[in-house]
Amino acid sequence: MTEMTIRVVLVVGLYVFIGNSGILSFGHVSFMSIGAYAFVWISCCTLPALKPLYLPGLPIVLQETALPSPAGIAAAAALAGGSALVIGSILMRLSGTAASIATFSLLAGQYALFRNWTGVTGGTSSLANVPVFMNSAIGTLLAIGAVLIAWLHHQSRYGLMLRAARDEQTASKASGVNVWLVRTIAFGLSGLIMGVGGAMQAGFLGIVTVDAFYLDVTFLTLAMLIVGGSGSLSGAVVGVIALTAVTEMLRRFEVGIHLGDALLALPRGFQEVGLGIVMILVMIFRPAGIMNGRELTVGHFRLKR
Amino acid sequence: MIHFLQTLIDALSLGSLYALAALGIGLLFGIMRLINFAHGDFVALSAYALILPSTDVVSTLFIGSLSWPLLIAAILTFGVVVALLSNFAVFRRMRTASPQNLMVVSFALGYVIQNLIMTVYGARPKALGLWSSLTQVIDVGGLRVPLLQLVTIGVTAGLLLGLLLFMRKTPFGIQMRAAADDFRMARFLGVRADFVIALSFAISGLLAGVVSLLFVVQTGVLAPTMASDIVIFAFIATVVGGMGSLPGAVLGGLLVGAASSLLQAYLPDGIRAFRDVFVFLFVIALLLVRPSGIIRLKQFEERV
Amino acid sequence: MMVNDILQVRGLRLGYGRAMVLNGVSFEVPAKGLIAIVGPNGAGKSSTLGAIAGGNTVSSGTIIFEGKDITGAAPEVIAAAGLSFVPEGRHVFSSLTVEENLRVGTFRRKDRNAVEIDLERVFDYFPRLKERLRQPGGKMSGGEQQMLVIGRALMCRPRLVLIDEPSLGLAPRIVDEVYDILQRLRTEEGLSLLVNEQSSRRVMKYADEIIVLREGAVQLRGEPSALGAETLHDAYFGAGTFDHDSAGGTV
Repeated sequence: MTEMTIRVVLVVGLYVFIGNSGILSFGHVSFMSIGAYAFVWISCCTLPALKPLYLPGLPIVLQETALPSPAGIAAAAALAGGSALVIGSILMRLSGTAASIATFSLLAGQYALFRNWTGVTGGTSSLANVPVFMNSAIGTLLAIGAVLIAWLHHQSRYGLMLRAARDEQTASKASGVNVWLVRTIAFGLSGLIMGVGGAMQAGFLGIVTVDAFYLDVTFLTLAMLIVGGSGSLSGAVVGVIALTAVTEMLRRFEVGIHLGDALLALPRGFQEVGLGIVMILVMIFRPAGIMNGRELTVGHFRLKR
Repeated sequence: MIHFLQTLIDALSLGSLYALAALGIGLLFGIMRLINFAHGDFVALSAYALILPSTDVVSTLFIGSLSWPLLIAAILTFGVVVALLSNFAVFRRMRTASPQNLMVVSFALGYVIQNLIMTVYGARPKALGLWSSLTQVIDVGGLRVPLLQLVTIGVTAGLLLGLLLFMRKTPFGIQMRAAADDFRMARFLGVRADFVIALSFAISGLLAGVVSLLFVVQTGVLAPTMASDIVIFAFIATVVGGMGSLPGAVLGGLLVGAASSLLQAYLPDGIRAFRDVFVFLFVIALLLVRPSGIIRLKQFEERV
Repeated sequence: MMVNDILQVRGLRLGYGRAMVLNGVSFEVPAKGLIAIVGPNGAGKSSTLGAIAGGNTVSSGTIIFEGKDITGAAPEVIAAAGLSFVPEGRHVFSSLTVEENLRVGTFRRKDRNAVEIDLERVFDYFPRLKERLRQPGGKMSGGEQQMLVIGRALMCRPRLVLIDEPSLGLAPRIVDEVYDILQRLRTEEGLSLLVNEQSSRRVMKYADEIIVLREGAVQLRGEPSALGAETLHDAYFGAGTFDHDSAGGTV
């Protein structure tokens, strides 16, 4: 459950940019990574004496700090959001496939950087002793916060102009929409949310490694967004729930189910294989995702304008 | 000077590997706008075929113990079959899908293949000695060159020439080029869509097989994610060279290989570890200057 | 319905709901005939040809070519059956040479020997193509490209050729040249032709029958000599000057 709240935050973070702009980004996990490490830099460690040993390359001030978790989360949001804004302002000159590949380069470059910046990130070794603050209540609270921010952005004129640019780029440009600006704003905001997601992950596991923020998470979160339907915020949330359910079910099968005396168990690794297959099937049979671009409606109240 | 020449050969052989992988990706993009994230997993799967059918902890060669012509034929066939099966099971059903969905599906397919390998063989890398005589270093006028690098460059040059002749001179090649240029129009002239797509998958799989062999001999290791680095660079290469252009893919591969090798050789010690960071920065910079790559094709220009 | 019709289109419908592009279009092309479909922009002319060639999915209706039902068949199957399509905008393969462009459609032909003969015949009709054999198709002028794509279609050895707006963007002199060649192809090769044009003026001289298409439906059809200028105008723009606005409003 707590894990699911983290995923909601991450996938909603992706939605803010990908869903509204229509540009597939492979690079947003970078901001999750930045968020997780920002959290470590500010709030690590439960044993303060360890920090200078782990991260001798950090400025002395940071080496001696171990602020409470909320400060760490705030730092994660600020640093991830800030860097996303700066990087976005550069990358958003591109569109379409070029933009997607540029975000992919971003992910690969950021991964290479953190993996080799041993003094500051611990390099390939994992950092333990990260304060654990997550529980299902805090997770839910943060997830609701993320959804709320995404919804506000969706409803704002920036969200509206961004979707207009997604659907009719030429027309919206002609009517005075600054495509670069609205995309950069969404990129920054979505990076900010991803950063919080990274901090949540760090504060859930108590361990941070560079490898945890690379292709696997990228795949999983994109899968959730697209299976749910990247065209709507409900799609993002539904995708998380659906794929978490599928993963849970496959995990049960991997552990084994009792049928009378026999224990039926699928081989290990089947969870991932099954997830991939489900995703392929959704793409073949429902190319716009489960929600197909629609929002969930509650009575007469509609999320989407 | 010697140091520079040696770096140049490094660059050329690394670039060759990237170019072959980039061609495998570029071919499918040209024909069906598929950015195939599963290409690296085609490579990995072909490499694992060397130890089929054993799943022991210690790798025993079966196909890998065949005489070399048979071995090459077997692995290349395997690569072709893997690619064709992927087409048949997945991509054939997505003919009308958007490039974005195709990209995501290939990502998913790669994930499935990678995890299948892990399920069967485990995640731990396996050591594997194949053709170790190729790793010896030969002395050419004071220049010490691993034989394998020369083989890699030679094989790549040969394959490129063969592919060039295939695309220029044979009916199949001309139909493929026509389809890459304007798929709809090619069909109106009787070019069979299924056939052309299957053919590009087959060639792409063949190239994946070649890359897997060269790479395994070079590293002596099998791992489920063994090819992900090559393929990341190959992607970048296809984009740098110009999406959908085959000469562009080769050029991009060589360029990215050269950039990595030169940075490796000439970056100061303190920041050499960050080589890849510079490579990716360079790629982003290049995209900003030329979003459609070095060789622009009008059918891939993004409308603004 | 005549026995010697090479193509019969019956109740062709395309699109769905309110976005109906074609609303039950029927006509036929006699063997060795030249039929012209005229109509304003957005009338459904291109959709009609595209549907016959297998490029657009048909909602309902049947398309019969030489007695065989080809409705819903793949474009490459229809092309192999002897029906060629020259779409609007020409679609020259710009990275292929002129010769390669011409040969793309010949690789599935069984009569390999005849291909070279056909090539000579195409050069006979379009001598300029022979001079530019090794040039990339993309480097040619509009008129040359139009000749190339007609020649390319002929290399498939079709019995019926559909041409979408052959005069689009061409100088009047070139248009005359194109139509003269089409006329020759009819008489010398026994080819049947179905041509779309936005303006009826040019095709009046060549066509056996004019079909006026507007708002996805056939408004009028008949031999050019039998159609008065006024009836043609009314069919094309909607009948009655006073009705004009309301008719236009539903487009």
